[in-house]
Amino acid sequence: MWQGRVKISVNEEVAPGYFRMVLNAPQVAEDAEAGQFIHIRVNDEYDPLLRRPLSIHRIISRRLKVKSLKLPDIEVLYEVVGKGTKILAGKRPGEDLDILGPLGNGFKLGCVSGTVILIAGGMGVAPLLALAEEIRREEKVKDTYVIIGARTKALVLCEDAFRDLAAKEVQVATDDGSRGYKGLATDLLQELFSTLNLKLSTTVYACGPEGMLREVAALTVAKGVPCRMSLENRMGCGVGACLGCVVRVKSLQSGVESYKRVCKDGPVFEAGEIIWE
Amino acid sequence: MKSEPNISVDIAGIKMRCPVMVASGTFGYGEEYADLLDLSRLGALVAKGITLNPRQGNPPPRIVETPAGMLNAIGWENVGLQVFLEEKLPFLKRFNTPLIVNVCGKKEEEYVQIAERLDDREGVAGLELNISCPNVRSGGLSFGREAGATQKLVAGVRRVTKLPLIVKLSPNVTDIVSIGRAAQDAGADGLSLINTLVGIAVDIKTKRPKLTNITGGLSGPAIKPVALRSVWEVAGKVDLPIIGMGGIMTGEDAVEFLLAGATAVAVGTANFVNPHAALDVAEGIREYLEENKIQDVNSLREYGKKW
Ligand SMILES: Cc1cc2nc3c(=O)[nH]c(=O)nc-3n(C[C@H](O)[C@H](O)[C@H](O)COP(=O)(O)OP(=O)(O)OC[C@H]3O[C@@H](n4cnc5c(N)ncnc54)[C@H](O)[C@@H]3O)c2cc1C
Ligand SMILES: Cc1cc2nc3c(=O)[nH]c(=O)nc-3n(C[C@H](O)[C@H](O)[C@H](O)COP(=O)(O)O)c2cc1C
Ligand code: FES
Repeated sequence: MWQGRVKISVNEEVAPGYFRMVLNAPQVAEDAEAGQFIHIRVNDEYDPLLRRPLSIHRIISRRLKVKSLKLPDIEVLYEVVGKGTKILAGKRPGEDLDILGPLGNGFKLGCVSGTVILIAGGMGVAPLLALAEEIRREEKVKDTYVIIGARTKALVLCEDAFRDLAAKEVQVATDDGSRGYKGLATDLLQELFSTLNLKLSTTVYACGPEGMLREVAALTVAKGVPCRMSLENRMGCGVGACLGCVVRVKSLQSGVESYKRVCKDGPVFEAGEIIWE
Repeated sequence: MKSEPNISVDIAGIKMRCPVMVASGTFGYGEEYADLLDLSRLGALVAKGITLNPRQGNPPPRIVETPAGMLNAIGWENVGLQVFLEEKLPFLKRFNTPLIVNVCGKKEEEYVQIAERLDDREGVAGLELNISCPNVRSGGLSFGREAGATQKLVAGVRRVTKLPLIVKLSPNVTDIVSIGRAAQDAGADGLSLINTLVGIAVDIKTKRPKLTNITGGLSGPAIKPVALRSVWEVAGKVDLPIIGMGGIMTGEDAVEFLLAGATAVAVGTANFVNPHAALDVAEGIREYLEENKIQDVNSLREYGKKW
């Protein structure tokens, strides 16, 4: 965990209201894993007061001019939804940003094998692309399927990037049918389930709006398919101290109900342990 | 030769290397921040409030940001006294920093039992009685709202502990001075103020409060003027050392509290924004003293008395 000021090297609009930002932050990138996040202070004022969490979208390497050194950089992908992200969108390359990270527990691939399905809704592609990079290095994973859901064609992000990462199949669903299937990403998941032999090792990873995650949790729990999902609760400290970001969970082992901190115990949880309120 | 100003203070017998501590509930049990700053440079560490038995706290959302502040309704989620002693205290003992344990309860017996069990614990430098937590419907606040109840509770705890006893006051009262006096009469050694101010934030889309608990405690820069007024009022009327807090983000903010009559300060919400805040604040105080050629931080609190 590191905190300090880093330089912004890229901040560009990649789709209407969606930005990609690259931060020269080797201190954070070096130990970062897919599913972890950074906590950003968008300015030095008191409004907005709190930091804003953004997932690690990619770790890219920057070649230095001197010698042939390479340093890892952090890339984030964000949607402008309010005060903080609006301020971020106005930053120029060369400016500094105060960041804290990497925070939280990542997706923890462990001994994943067989078939992997990534399902992203909207901004949910952010951590899942980092995960796809990690999965590519897992030799036991045979097939990777990617399902991306978005409101409309212009907001379908990272489709090509997922293809380049050798996904077996990338499917898209849009609310208005302007690209791919017209309907929900979870409809595509259900359909994919019906074509796969779920008795063979299959794992689902999900990130997106709560409505989608609920549905993914219901589908995977019903089929007994292991599923990990990344939650996005409102955060205070981001390091586990304030207990502001909790989610209600039921232990898969003991059945005991409690609250867990999304920032420290998560943000990635087992779909089956989350109690949806 | 220029001599370094003295920034060490003594609060109720607790000797602090600098007048800055971290406020209860904003720094966990220290572990969460140990990677980011050297805990042995803090003036003191006030642990997250503990109750006799573990408590789960309120349903989320528990926090919401407001202009220059935040509302929280954590609801006393904590591991309980037993786990605190077994799992949290050993870690905190490793640092050469006084540990003040923040104690919460629903009934007087709870406070008394916790105080009894902490009394001879190695590694506990003092107790801070939270009689002012606004987030639990019964208990907590009812003690801190009324002078008689405050006096009875503090006297009950005083009987069972020799540890420095600090009472944390709520600003959500009609007369904070009378509560401070009651604590003093009952044998308190110091006062902490202020706890959060009760507030509400409304979501106009859903037409519902943003917090499930409806109300929450306001903290951060937004409450600083109220906190300063409370510290100044109490310092002028009650003869106990004061730990001032409420919206401190910088050394300058802290100096305002010290001038108003506080002996030490605590940094709360600022930790979430800047994990280094407490150490930066301490450094800011030292710089202020140097720039103004003031030899001893303890001389600042005399100023407020003349206002
Ligand atoms: C672990 C984690 C990873 C994240 N990763 C990304 C990412 O990679 N890319 C990305 O674009 N976003 C991500 N988010 C969400 C992002 O943090 C928020 O969109 C951002 O903080 C909003 O800040 P703002 O100041 O622009 O909006 P605000 O002005 O704070 O809020 C705008 C509106 O959204 C609501 N809101 C804000 N945050 C939340 C929330 N968490 N839950 C419910 N309602 C909320 C507010 O109440 C308000 O109505 C992540 C969140 C978490 C917890
Ligand atoms: C998330 C949060 C949790 C808190 N928990 C406690 C607590 O357990 N006991 C207590 O006495 N005060 C608690 N407080 C109050 C703080 O210790 C402090 O009095 C208050 O936040 C004002 O200071 P600040 O503006 O610097 O945060 C809490 C505050 C916050 C923001
Ligand atoms: S944001 Fe503070 S505990 Fe998670």
